[in-house]
Amino acid sequence: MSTPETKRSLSDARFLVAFGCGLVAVGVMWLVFTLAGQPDTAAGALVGGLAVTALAVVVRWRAKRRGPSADGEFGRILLGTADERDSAILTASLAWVGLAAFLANAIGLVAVALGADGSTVIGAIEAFLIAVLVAAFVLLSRRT
Amino acid sequence: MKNDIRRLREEAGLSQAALAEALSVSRQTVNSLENGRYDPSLPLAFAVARYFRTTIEEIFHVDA
Repeated sequence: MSTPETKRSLSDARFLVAFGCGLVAVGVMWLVFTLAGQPDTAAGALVGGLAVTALAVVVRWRAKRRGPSADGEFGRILLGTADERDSAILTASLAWVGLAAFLANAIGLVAVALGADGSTVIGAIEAFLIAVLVAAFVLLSRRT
Repeated sequence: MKNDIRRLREEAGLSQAALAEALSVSRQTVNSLENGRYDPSLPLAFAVARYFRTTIEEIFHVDA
């Protein structure tokens, strides 16, 4: 039986390709929303997308300077250099998000039926699920 | 699952970071393995055993 080699470092070329693809995706989203007559959404997508791409550059810079172990689980996942434990933590965290989504959607449905504003409920559900993801990730990182 | 990774690493005079580099995992993963908080996949268990030139059974021990 052979042991597969784990890729531990993202080459500069691959990172540049990923970075370029990210910028193109952000640009396309901005263009689509602009052409659809939603300038506020387009601006939001642009700012959010550029923030995430900038974060990726910062994490990449730290990885080059200090080595992959200094990035933390989230940084390695973001950079595509996650090892099997990082992937296991992410998988388990997303499982918690999936479980929480059932509960959140049920509560949201009841809230809308009782007269709550739909867009507010959707926003609250998104915020709740992000909070669950962050909390589960941090907790599992410490316990695993 | 208990294991002897810490003992083997210290006998080899390696730091966690050096072992992590050799196994292509993060230092945090080596730390979790040594403390028994994380059970490795079969390929990683084989990699650990091969690195220390021993067998999986010699390194990993089922609790109880």
